[in-house]
Amino acid sequence: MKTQYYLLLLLFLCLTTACERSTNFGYHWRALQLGDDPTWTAKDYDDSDWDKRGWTEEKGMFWVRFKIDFGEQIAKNQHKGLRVISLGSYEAYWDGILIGENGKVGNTKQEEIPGSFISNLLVPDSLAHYGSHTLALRVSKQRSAMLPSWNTFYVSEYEHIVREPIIFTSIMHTLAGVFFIVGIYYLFLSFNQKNKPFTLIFSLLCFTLFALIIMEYLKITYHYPYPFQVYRLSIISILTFTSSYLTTLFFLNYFQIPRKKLWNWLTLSSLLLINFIDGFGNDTTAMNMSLFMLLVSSSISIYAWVQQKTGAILVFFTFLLIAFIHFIVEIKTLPFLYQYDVSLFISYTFLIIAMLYLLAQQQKMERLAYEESLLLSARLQNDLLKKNIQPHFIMNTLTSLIDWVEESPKEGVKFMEALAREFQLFSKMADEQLIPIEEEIELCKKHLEIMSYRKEIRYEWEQDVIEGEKVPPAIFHTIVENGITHSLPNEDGSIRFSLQFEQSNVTKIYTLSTFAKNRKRTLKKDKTSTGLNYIRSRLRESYGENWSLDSYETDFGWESEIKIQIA
Amino acid sequence: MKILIIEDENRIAKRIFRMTRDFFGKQLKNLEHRDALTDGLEYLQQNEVDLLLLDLNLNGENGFEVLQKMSAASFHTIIISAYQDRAITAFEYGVLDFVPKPFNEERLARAFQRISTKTEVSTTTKYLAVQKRGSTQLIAVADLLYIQGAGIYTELHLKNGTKAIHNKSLDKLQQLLPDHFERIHKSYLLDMTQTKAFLAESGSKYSVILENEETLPIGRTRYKALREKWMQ
Repeated sequence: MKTQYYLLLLLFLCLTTACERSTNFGYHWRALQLGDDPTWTAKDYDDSDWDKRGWTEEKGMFWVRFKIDFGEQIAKNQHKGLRVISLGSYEAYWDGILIGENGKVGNTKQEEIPGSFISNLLVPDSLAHYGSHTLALRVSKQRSAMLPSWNTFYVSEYEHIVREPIIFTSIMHTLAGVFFIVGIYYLFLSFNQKNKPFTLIFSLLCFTLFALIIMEYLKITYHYPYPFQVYRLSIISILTFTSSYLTTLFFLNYFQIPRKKLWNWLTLSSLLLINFIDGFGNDTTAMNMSLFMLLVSSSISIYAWVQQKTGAILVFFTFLLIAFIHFIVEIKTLPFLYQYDVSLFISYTFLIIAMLYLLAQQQKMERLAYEESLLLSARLQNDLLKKNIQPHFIMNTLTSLIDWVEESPKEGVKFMEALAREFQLFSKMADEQLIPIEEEIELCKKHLEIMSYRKEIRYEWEQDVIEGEKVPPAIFHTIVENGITHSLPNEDGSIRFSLQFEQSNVTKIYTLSTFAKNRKRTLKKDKTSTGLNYIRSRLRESYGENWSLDSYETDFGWESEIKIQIA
Repeated sequence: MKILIIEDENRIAKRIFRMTRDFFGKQLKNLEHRDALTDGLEYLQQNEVDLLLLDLNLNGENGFEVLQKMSAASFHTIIISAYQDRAITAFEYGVLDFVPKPFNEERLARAFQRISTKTEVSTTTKYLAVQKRGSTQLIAVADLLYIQGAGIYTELHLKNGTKAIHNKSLDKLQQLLPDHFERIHKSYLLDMTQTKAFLAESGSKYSVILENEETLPIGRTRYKALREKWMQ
């Protein structure tokens, strides 16, 4: 992100310096006449009745005449050059004298050799004196019928005309490189993040912007023949469409806007509608698509802001900045050739930075969640081991054990064996998140055996046949512990536990019932909730949110129900 | 001797039962066991006991809140608990002894011996719990000036001039309080750090003047020893 920031700074610096250095001058008169007449080269030819729009939709031969005044400013330039943009091959006459050709003007398609869309001409120093001048272009446009003609130029220092666009393009290409690399990086990331579509969307957006810059500045890196212009514009149009769509889609997904699909289709159809109304492939369409993207995305950010989603404020202010940049660039009127492109790419750079921030935030939150889950697991493991060594359990057990050993050693040994087995089971399952139900049941049974030695109450266990299932460790054990603590024996002196299991296509239900009398409680219950919290944490660790736990009093004692949804 | 055991584990209760019977022998008039706090409290309301043997964690309930109430009672309390880390707090609330589990006959006997003799171990009682209008209040031992025996009750005289009634006898309180509380008279237990001067008047009448100028009588037989111990 730092790199991008510096690049941006560099870009800004270059832009401003470029602005200061460029002394570009335009013409004050442009007129077009269909046909072909060699007298139209003359400097003082009266073209006042020509078409002042300066363009035509006709195919074939036509002339365009420009008038320009060289004042003090331009006179400072050493060698004057013209940068001509022409949708057609031409011959250029400066004050009646041929100074250059672009392609070969021809009466028919076969005769014509297409010239470059953009070309540079050097004005001979002898003809570049102070005062007014005329440029007459003899144009043939036998191709690109779907585009109207377009001829324009500006004057500047010749060296400047050649160098400046290339310097500018090099900066833009650097930016494109950044987009490309970021795109690749997030493409790789997206392979492992199938559940986060915005990673892939972001990557695609970066590639789109990369392509957009390359296509946009093709006019400078490659002086292509004019018929290619229509294809270039189409490609740019498609890329603008794609980038507008992807940007909106990114925010829809990132901020988890409800009814995403509906908004997705609305965005897509609105963009198509803009193309339908404004026509495909022209600048107004591109501008309107970007404007639409700006409006929709900033609306999304406002919605996300209201919903208090992280990063929404940043996105909103980025859009505000973009609107501001657009305005500034518009006002400052940089060379007309770049105006819109510049504000577009600067805007997208800021937007990409904002998006990178969002993605970094997302990664941070994920890491935190992961660390938290590790912590939870560690804590639960700790809780499980503590069950064994907490003083209430161990000291009371040892006291009873001593008494058994002193009074009836043979029984005492059995007690010890049960205790040893419980310890064994505990240490075996301590590292596991899920254990076979058989082990859990054995743990419960061993615990009941120990408790029957301690409490001298007859604890009974019964269960459904459950095979091959896995459960988080010590969850039923915890329920059994609670049952022992809070129950008084029935009339026959027993406390009975019963584990039932039901399974359907979507759920697994474990029900552990305690058949006993419930003790009255004098004080606040605190132990119970700690036990239930352990069970809840274990269930969350293994099943996310796809479970439920109910624990309630019944006529016969107590019942706890654990429901697990099958994914 | 009338003793109540509150212990939720039958095997342990039986052990305490057996050892208590062995220790007290014929002295024992009554020995009862309850396995839940509610039942135990109910028994204490209806019956008089001399000693309570209390487990601190009963059926998942924390017996510590009950401990405050118990220490305000007329009888001594001995805690028998697995939570050894609670011992210091228990002593601060004025229990006679804290027996950590697992325990043997010897350790329990040592606790029982404290009933009849004041042990050389200095006690660490920091609070005396008193019953006031049905609720239990704690009075810091540091706030005590002297205690006056009043039949089966005692009257606590505090440094701020107020008084409170305690249900324990002077003998029992003396067992619980730190060593600088001396029996200066059969009816007085005084914090000796608060004495200013000893007075020997005519007719073998002895007394002590306190920091707050109050005068308390000193038993004739005790005067010499007390004077020697505390006037240096």
